[in-house]
Amino acid sequence: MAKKVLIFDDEADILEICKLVLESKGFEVATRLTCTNVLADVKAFSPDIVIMDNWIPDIGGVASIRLIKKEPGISETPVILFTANKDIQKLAEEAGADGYIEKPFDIATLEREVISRLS
Amino acid sequence: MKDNLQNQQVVAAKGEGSGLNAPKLIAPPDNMKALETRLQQQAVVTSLGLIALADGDLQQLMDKAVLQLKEVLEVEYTKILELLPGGEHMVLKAGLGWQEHIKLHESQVDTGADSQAGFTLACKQPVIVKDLNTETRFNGPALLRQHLVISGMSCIIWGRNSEPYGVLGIHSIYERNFSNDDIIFLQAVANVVAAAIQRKEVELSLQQANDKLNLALSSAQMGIFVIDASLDKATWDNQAAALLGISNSEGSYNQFLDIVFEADRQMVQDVIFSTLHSGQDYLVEFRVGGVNNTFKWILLKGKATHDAQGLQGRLTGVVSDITGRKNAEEALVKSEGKFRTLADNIPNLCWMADASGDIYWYNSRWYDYTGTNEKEMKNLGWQKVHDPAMLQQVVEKWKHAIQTNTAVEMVFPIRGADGVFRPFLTRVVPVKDSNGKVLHWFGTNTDITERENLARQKDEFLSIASHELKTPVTSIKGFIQLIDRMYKQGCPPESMGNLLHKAESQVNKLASLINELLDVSKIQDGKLEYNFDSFLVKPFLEECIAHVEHLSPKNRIAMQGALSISLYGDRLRLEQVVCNLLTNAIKYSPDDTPVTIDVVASGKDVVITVQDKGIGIPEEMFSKIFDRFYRIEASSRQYQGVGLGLYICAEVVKRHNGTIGLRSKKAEGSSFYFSLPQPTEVDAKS
Repeated sequence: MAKKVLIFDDEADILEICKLVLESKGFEVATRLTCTNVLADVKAFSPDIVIMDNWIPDIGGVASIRLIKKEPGISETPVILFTANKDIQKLAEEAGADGYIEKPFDIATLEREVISRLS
Repeated sequence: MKDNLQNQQVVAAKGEGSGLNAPKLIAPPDNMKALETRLQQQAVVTSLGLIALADGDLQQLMDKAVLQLKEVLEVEYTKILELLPGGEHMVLKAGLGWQEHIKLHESQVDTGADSQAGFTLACKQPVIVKDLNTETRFNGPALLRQHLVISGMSCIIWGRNSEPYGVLGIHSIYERNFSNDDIIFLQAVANVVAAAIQRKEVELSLQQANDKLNLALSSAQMGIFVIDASLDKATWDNQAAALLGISNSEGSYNQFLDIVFEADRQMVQDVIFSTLHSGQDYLVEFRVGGVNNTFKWILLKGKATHDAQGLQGRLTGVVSDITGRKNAEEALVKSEGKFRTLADNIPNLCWMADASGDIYWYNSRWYDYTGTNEKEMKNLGWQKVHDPAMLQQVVEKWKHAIQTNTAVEMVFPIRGADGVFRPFLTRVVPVKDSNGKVLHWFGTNTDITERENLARQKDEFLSIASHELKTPVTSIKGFIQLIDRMYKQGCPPESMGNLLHKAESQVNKLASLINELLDVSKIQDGKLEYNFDSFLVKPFLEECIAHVEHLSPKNRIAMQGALSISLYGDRLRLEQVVCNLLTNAIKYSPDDTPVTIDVVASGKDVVITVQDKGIGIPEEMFSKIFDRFYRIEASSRQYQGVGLGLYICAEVVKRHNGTIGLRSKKAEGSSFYFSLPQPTEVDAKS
């Protein structure tokens, strides 16, 4: 059964790129443009990994990751912070994320980060 | 004739005797011989007195005195000895009959136990020696014995302050019985000499005092000035003449007034009158000269003096040139005035402290901002407006500056009259004299709230701008890498077309973002160019809608109102404004809600409103939303966009002499509107 990736980003193009890259590696990918219903979305899709943009309506990526990490049942799901912010490492630590990918990114990096965490 | 003269002398002698000093000394004469001798002696005293009174030479008087004594008393030796400092020796000041080796002003005798002179000084009474050989009170010095002296008399010549000047003595080689008259005569001569000596000494000290006064006056550049109370006459010395610029040494009071500058004349006159009236000290400063508007400032200071009867008073005083001081004072007043004006009008809070750090002055801005007053700020009052959490640190830095005499710069909050602490940049510099000694400290506190806000906004703007720029770059990079991979995998070209198209639109987005940034930079430099023209509003709005339609479902945007009118302005810039408002409306409202453009032509203006049914904007943000770096709730990332769009819109509308604004309620949507002046006939045709 294919591993599932849930991506949150408010840029449709970026979602499309990620989806194409990861699907080509055999992942099942779902995308969301906002994190308004982040907990419900994660629970409903039950992904093996979450990729989370930071500047995303409405509560933002860091707050969303914190919610996930506190929520029983989904708190163990690996979450990768996905942002153009220079302080990405610090933000990832603050949020309790399991890793980060800085934008602009190489599609090979995206593949590697996801694959390494799910193998 | 001779009898008359003798009678007069007797009367004169009796007259003298009725005085305090010598009732018993004026005894009735025993016989005519004695009377004659007495008259002769009195004549000598009188003639010596005349010499003394005539201010004659003291040596001459002494020489005359010893000569007369020798003749009248018919003795072989006479002498005047002056007591030398220390009181142990006496020097011969005048004398007759002595051997040649005895020299005036050189030969000395001591005042020891042997000495008749010494004994005279000690007993303070005239001393009469009948026979030196049988004398028991003193041995008789070798000098007298060498001269075979048998008898003699001596008495003290009194000098100033009841101190003995010396001894007057006469000596004979015969045994003599000196009469009471002789003793009186000797003492009278001694008294005349004493009076002359005292007078000389007083004159000398007067002269010295006068010399000192002149020296003081001349080195202080002061002159003496005297005005008679009658106001007839004024006199002055050379120095005063030079200072006042007049030549002669006296003149009328009116002449003096004439040299006083006209504007000061009445004041000078008032001071002089009131001083004469009150008899008090006076001080008046006035100007003399006035040629080519150059004045000399003169200080006249002194007192009113009167004679014993309180009549014939006069004003004596010193005059001095105080032009330098006056100019300095004037310069000081001017510079202080400038300083105060400056200090009270700059936006900074200023203060000055003495060398020890006690603040003694604040500018009015300080009191305005802190809402305090002088009384509250006394001593350490300034600490009341400091943040207690920072105070210790501030006090330590301040102490360190005072100890090391070095300038200090720090940032700390100061509480305003409204109770709000605002950050102030504080600079304190020591003001030193030419020797490097700190005279006082000058401090300024500059409110840096705005600066800090701007810096924060700028930081935030940079971070947002970089994020906004990176977003399309991220997409472009992703698309290119995907296409590259597909190409290498031998995918058909048509499968890549969609990706290429999307990459291109991201490139366009990036380009427009860069243009926005450039526009902001041009606005800042005042270099944004405008091409004004008339155009119809309907096709203009249709074009705007076409630009943004790809962002949302078709037919979502509607327009209404006065669509047949023309607008006057820079079409491209106004398109930028409308597109920006539409983009915001689309972005911040759900897809299934309408976005409406409403055109209203009202009298002078055209108002174009873009209305959405989105999340709305809180009212407190209305005033800030058009700021350059403003972005609604940027920290929550709820809203996107660099925040430059609305700023650019506002600048463009402002350049069209229009206004921009919004009406909004949270959760009910926003209406952004801008108004443009209606085109006049001239505008429309041009």
